[in-house]
Amino acid sequence: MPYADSDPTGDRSPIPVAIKILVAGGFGVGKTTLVSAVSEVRPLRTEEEMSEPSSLVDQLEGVERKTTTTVAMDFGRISISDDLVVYLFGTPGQKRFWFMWDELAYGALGAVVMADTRRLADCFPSIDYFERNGMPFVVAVNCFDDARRYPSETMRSALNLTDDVPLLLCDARQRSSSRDVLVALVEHAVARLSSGQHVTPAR
Amino acid sequence: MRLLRYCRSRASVADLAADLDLPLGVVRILLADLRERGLVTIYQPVASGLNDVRILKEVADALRRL
Repeated sequence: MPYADSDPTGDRSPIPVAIKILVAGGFGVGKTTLVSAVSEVRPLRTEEEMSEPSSLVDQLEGVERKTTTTVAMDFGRISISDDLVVYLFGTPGQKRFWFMWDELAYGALGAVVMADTRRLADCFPSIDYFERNGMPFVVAVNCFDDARRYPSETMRSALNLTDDVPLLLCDARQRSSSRDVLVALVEHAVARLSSGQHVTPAR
Repeated sequence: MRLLRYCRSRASVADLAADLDLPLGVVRILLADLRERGLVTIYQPVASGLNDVRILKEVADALRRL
């Protein structure tokens, strides 16, 4: 994403490599909880404008003309080192937010699609989207206390997942569990890379 | 102006919005104005990490230590 600096002659350190990870899924599935569980910064849940995802990848020109429908988005950050930072963006998976996905997905490493077994269909649009774009993704089934558990084969088949897409059970409230989901996604991306499938911007 | 103070060191636009508690779209417009006056420099992100197995493994290892 773009970086701003008021003193062009001052800080000469390299611009950090920014790894962007999306957290998608239906309303109330636990995206905010997952981002909050692993983020080092105050978990941000702000009302944002529809044009804002483009700021992650776009130049700043012309933003004045963008529409300003308000949606909620989660933002989290994990600093790996001085020159490597992971950004998490939780984005609504409902169809009415479709318009923002392309901009948000641009340049992303991959996505975590969160699912709730009580409302499995809510994550279908997200899965379709990432499948179409060829973006690496994992499905994380958030195990709500009062939700029925199903064997992973049953869920795989209900979601029509291909064998290569990892499916995990998680408890988004637990830092370790949310962390494991992110690790699985990065490992999945590495595995795809090693098999010759490059991550390409989703456009 | 608070935004300029935060911009003294390099910061991502998303981080600035979080620090200032302003919508990202607002921060983008403010930054565009500041850039017009030559007060900030906008850098494009380094995107090469996505296809670099070494970097991705570093990310995975670091996440495991969380």
